[in-house]
Amino acid sequence: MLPGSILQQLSDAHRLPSASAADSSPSGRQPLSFGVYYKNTLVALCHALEDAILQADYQPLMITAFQRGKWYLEEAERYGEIADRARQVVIMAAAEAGFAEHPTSQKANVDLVSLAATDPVAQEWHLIILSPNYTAMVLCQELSAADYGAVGQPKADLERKFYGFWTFEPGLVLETAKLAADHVGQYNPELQQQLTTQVQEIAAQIEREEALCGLPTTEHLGEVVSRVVDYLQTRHQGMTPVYPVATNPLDSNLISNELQAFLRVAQLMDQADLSNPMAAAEVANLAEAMGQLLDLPAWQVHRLRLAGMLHRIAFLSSSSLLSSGTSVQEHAESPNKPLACPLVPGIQVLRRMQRLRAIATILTHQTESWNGSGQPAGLAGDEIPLESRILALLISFQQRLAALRRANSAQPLEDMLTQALEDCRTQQGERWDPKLIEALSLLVSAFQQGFNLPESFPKLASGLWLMDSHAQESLPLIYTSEQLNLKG
Amino acid sequence: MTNDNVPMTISIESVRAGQTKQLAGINLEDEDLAGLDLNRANLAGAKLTGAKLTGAKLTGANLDGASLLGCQLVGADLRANLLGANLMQADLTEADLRGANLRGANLMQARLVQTSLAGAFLSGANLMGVSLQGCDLRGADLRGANLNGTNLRGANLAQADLQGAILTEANLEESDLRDANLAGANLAGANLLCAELTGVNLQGTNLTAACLKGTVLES
Repeated sequence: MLPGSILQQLSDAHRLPSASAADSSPSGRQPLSFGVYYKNTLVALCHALEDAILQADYQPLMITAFQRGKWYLEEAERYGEIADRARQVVIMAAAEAGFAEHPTSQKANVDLVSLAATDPVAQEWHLIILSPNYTAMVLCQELSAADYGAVGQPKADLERKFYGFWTFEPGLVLETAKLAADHVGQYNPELQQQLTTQVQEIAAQIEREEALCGLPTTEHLGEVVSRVVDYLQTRHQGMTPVYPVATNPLDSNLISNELQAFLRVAQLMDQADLSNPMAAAEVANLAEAMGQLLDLPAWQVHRLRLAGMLHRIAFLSSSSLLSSGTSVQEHAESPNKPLACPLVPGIQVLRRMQRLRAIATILTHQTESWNGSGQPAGLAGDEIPLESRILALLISFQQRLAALRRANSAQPLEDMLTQALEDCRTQQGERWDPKLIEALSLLVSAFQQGFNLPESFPKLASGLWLMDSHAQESLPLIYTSEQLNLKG
Repeated sequence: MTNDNVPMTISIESVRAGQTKQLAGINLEDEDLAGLDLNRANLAGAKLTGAKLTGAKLTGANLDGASLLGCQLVGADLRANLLGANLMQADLTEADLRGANLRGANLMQARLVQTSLAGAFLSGANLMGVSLQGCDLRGADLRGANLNGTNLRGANLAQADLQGAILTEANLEESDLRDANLAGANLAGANLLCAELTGVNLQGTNLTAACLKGTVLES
């Protein structure tokens, strides 16, 4: 990472365990995890994130870095429209002919910063969008000629490689906006002052309860994610739909980022739920362990894991229904509540990605009950897709466990596991498949005998190992209880 | 290998009908055995060159030293003993090799797309130049494996044991190597761009000319 670049500064701030991290956001202390992006991906991703500004009234502060003036000029027309809907737009780039003369550059709320050729930020690609209801960011740095190693530099412009990350997390976007404002200071102290004030104002607005940037809803983040997936998909080149991972690196990079868009929303939903911030990772790990216990094939175990990671997306609520503290529990435990059948809004967002069709179906039926009294289809017994049954039980189990941990963290884990299991058992035969309660009790005894699950959220950039060609198959794949080969 | 005891009397029909699973040394070259239930079959030293075993079930089968050259094993359940087996040019797309014994196996030019190799034993296996892009290799035993020039982009190698493995010029871009053991491994010229190396053991690891941009290296 280039010293003095924004990516490096942000990365360093997250590297130090506690010393300098004055920021109290949930993301504040975690080391950042980076991914590789082809320019091809970045163009589509940035267009999608930017176009959100044109679709809704966010009035953001936008800070961008384009490397060179000519790259900005390619986007200048669009930026003119964006500027009309933005509070302020700052464009950093090494000046080139026409850079300052374009009509967009002349707009009152557009400021240009001509980067010095030696400035490390001139090797970076930034898109920082900051507003109370929508925060998004792409923060990347281009590989140097040496970084390409033996492979050599690509000839095609769209194959140029960058590394860094993108996110919707308000804390990180805010932190980066401050760094960018400070960087602007070496060129234009007045603009730095102006930006700092704006960042502070928006930070204060984000703190308020009505701010939506940290609370994904179907209208806000749901729409944005749909657009990200659409834009990335239109860039696929001659891809065979059968294989989950395209062998063309440009295509696999696109697919990886489509999946990441969903995973990032799921992660944000976890972070927004302070009462149970590890739900996605824990349910995913439990689901995988359960899949193995039931001796499901590898692809199905992976699918269960992915469904676990994405399960909260089903509960993406519409912002009109949003009340603070709405948890998954309320939905899962009150199947008669408004999960309108059969179009669960959050899941419709998921369906945008063909490869996640099976996952969408699994998640749709996670609110069914074994006795047929559930929603959205009132399926009963083995009619309910097996994976939906497994996932629903584990979500409930994990929630109970999280609640117990919250209530009394001093209680031994063994006792909490027993209690959570017994709570689930009371609904055996009504809500839950009795066979799966049996399997869960085997899992619980394994935990009590010292079997451990990893806790961290998986590396987002490398989620492709979870994708399989079966993910496109339509469900239900009916397994009867007898077919489940329970290993005692 | 001499096959004096090859049961010449076993017909392909009886194999298909699952009448016998004692198939050591059998010659099934180029046969269509797709989807067949061969769980726990003894196929030690069997000749399966060019055979079609797509979706076949081979859980617990013994394929010790079997020749699976160019075999079609797409989606096959291969949680089996493949000690020293020849899997050159085999298509293992989405095959299930979780916990399989592949010690000393030859996997050169094999196709490994979305192959599940979690917990597989691959010590001393030859994976030179193979693409393992996006494969699940969590906890796999890759000690001393030859991964020279292997494509491991986006592979999950968390907790994998790569002690003494040859990873020269390997592509480990975006791979997850959390808590992996790379002690004594040779990663000269490897591409570790944006790899996750939290908790990794790098004692005596050769990282000469390796690209470490964007890696997370906290322990």
